Amino acid sequence: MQVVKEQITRALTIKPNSLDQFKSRLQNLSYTEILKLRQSERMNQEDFQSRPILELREKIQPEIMELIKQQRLNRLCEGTCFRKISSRRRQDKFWYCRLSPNHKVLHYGDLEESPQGEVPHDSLQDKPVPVADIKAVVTGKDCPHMKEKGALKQNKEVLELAFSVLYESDEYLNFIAPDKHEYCVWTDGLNALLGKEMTSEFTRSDMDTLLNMEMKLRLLDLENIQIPEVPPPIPKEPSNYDFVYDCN
Amino acid sequence: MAPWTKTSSERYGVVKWNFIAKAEKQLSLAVGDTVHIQESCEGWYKGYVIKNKERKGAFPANFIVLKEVIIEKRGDEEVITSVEMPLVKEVTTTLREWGTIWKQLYLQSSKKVRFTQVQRLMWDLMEWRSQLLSGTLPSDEFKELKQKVTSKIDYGNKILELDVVVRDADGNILDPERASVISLFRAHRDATAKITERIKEEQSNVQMDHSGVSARIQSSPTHSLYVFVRNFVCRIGEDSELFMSLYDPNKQTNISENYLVRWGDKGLPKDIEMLNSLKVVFTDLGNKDLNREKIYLICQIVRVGRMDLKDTPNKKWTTGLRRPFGVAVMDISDIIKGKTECDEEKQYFIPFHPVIAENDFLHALLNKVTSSRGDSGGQGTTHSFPAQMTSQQRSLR
Repeated sequence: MQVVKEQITRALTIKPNSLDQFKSRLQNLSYTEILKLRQSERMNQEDFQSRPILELREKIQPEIMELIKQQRLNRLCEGTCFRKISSRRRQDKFWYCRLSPNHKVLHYGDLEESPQGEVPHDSLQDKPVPVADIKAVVTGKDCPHMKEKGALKQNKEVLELAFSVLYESDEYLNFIAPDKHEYCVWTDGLNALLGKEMTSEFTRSDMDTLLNMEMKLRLLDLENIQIPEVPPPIPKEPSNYDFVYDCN
Repeated sequence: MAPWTKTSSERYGVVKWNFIAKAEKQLSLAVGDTVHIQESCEGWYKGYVIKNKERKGAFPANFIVLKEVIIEKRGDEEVITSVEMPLVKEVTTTLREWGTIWKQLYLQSSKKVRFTQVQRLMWDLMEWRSQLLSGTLPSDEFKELKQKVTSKIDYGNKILELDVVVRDADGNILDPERASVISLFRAHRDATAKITERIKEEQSNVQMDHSGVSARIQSSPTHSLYVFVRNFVCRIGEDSELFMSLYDPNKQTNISENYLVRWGDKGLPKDIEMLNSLKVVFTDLGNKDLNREKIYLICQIVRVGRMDLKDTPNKKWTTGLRRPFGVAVMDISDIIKGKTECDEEKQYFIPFHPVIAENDFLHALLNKVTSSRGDSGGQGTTHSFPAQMTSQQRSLR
């Protein structure tokens, strides 16, 4: 019955001039049409444009950013296998890099072949890089291994997946990430270790997913309640604060 | 000096605007929080946010939207429960529980697949929850949705290794204080069996919608079939009448009344206004009809006009005689039983079989056609079956 009522009200809103127009409008508003309209209205309500919702969003944002940072650092602690480029291109060599669990040191070392599982710490031979000594992270064209002449022969993709860590004022540790996802995770993680902002596009998309879900969960109880346009006026403070029970 | 008084009916509400506490005894609120209210005074309430029961303070009353509650007294304490549907409350708590677990899954990169799986489950549940709350569902769809929601919740709890929630036949949670131990045990056993079966189904990607449709069919004693006649294409050259009805070939009887459409000789219905709205609902189909082996939708076409088509129109011949012209037959057993999904746009073309000789009975032709499956040569009627098996009992939800 509610659906019939809604069909008639909607048909009347366009103020049809004759009975024929009314009839044709009613015919267009079949049951499935009404259901579709209702569903799209429900979707639009979640536009989240009202002020208190935006304020809440901003309040939660730092927590979510912290969560993303935690995830990136966890990934770094697991470590990744990287490829080495050599100018002779005779054979691709691998090396593995990972962050220590206390986030203080970067371990790395050469590997003979691509590892299948966990790589234990002691197999990474080279001298570890303390995180405190890292001065900056450079990406793309600014990387020293990209600036080499031989490197120009490489294709554009490698350029986008390259990043370097500058430590001790002139030593570089050069990376070429296996894919875009790893590149973003590593640059985010290294930036986070340096205390800088994480700027990759994966951060943005992760932030959107997490933040949207969190907002939806918080606003579950506000279903079917309209949020006012302007803030309600704060009434005058009560003359006393003597609550009935003082059970603190 | 107005005193603070205990509130009686205003006990529970939702915050609709952020409030920042300005004094020590005030409580800050964020939009979307649920609060319990204990006392009121001069347009202010005193209470606490349910998520953080320890902090109590005052906040303005007009920042809260009140919700109805039921207050039970258990001994000294009062238990406040909101009047929302228990299923909706369950979905809300489940979603929040899964939310925290989901964030933990995000942190572990090895659980990426599980993370997206749970995310999809949560979105589905949120969509269904808002459908439940909108109050716009007819009762049979409501039951179907309830089933879908409970099975999703059980599936999610199982894959996240949370406790199994035991339900009774209607999908409500069994209260351990009201059910006996033995029935609880049996219910647990049945629930685990059902859930493992459903997990195997989901993993093999089999689309079995049986639970939804059978719930709908069991829930109502009468059913209807909605048919929309779109067009009738046939070269007759004269006015005709189409009689549509439901037919049982095994018993060779009609199981419904006839729906008559008068069709003119130019290929359009006699009543032009009805061109796009030739709709009929066959009502009062009981469970006995659903259980028939085969059900056909038949259309008997009767030509109104001359005695013999071959004769030229001449004033000498009598007109207005009704002669049999042919039948169109379509097997709708699958549609009636709910095995095929129906949607408004799908149109079925029903082929047409003409009578061979002028003195044939339509009945004999019908039997011939239903037992064979011949080709018709492009003539026939087009129908569509939107919204089949809708329940007669649509409650005023």
